[in-house]
Amino acid sequence: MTTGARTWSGAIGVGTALVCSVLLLSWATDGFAVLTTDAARARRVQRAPVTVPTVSVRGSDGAVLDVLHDVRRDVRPDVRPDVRPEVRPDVRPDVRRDVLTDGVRAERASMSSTPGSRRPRAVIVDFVYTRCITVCGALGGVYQVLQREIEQRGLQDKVRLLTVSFDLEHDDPRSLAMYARVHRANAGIWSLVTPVTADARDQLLRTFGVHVVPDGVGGWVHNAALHVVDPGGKLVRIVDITDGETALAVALTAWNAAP
Amino acid sequence: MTGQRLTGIAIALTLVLTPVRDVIVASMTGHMLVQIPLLLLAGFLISAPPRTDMRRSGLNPGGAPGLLLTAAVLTTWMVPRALDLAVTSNSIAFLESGTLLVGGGLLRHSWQRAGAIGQAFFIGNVTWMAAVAGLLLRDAPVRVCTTYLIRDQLYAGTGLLLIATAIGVRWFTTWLALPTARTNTRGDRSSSVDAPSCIGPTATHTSRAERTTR
Repeated sequence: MTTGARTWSGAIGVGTALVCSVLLLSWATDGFAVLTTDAARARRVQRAPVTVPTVSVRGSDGAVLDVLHDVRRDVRPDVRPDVRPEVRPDVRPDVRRDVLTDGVRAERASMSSTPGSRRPRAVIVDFVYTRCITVCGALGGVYQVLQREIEQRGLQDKVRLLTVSFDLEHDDPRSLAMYARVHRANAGIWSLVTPVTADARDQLLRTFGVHVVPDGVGGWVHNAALHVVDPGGKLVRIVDITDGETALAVALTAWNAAP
Repeated sequence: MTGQRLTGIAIALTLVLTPVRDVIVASMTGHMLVQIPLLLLAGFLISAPPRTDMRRSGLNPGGAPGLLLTAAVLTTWMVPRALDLAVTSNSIAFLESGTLLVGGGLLRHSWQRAGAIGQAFFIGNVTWMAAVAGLLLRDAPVRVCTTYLIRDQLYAGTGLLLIATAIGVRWFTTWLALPTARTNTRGDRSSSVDAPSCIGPTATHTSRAERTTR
């Protein structure tokens, strides 16, 4: 091999190794921007909002609706195919007679008669399971603060809160109503739902980028965040659970920007 | 086919295609401290032993491209997001195994060519990075991987820190011992350094390096 040929092949080797190294690291860090899955997810959502899938969920009053159905307005984003409210008294007769859920139901009924704009609201979504004693409790606290903020600033026509449970076995309407009561949820602002099927739950978890891992002692560990969905039904931003202020600001901006 | 190569293939097949993989990567510690090093080792064993003629370096002058790529592969699979993806996606799992096997082979072919300076650079970079990653994992107040528990993160971080420190210290002490080894006779020299080629500069390497400089 001549010296020239050796120099060239060496240069090709070095160049190839450099290019492959940069490509590999760039892939892993999403363009040298992030190190974690959560950060990558938040970044991608902010760049390209994701449409929340149309899936059926059961609320704390036992009614089965689409996940983004706004009970107070009885409206949902125009761009989404309508899912008709479906109450199933046959499924959980005990729940419908329950004192707790009746309270929620009454409050919700009074809210839905409130006059005002029927414009869809922006939604801040979080994921919990009600037996959770760690991060979900913190989320409940964050939501309580957000709810108070919404009430005090008179934003209830613009922003609402939605808590989705991923514990299909345990979190029936009764458990949801209990969680709502513990955290003093105002049904006109804060609604709680559980997906009806495992498939619906998995679709939601995938869309929102929530990963649920068994913790080995009967519970789960999951990444918690505040997910802002605009009035058009698109997930536009994911923010840290400690940053409710940003979530609210983003939700308001999304509401103002909506047609 | 040599026994070494068969062993490498057996390790690789077990770690890539059997449920053993699922068991190992179920924990972050298993993933970072067992699966990844073993795949690198398998790649090392599978690749043919490097040619002794050091002048025919071809695409890998001074072993630099090989060591660079190996370091990049090891760095990539220390990124929490990459670990998550390797657990949740089959295609990424294959990418992980493939790059680590190739990395192991490249390491074998580049190590002796790199000489003491190149080796020091590689070991310094990789062990330093792994140790820092271990410290960060230990200190992180939240989970960095969405697929692993925080307790597991502490174990993996501690393990990474210990292993990186051990390799770094082992290599450095071997390297410190080299000047003394050089003053000895050839026979003494080969027995004075007993580290495997992957961990410390070997006696064979020293004599070769000297031969080329003469």
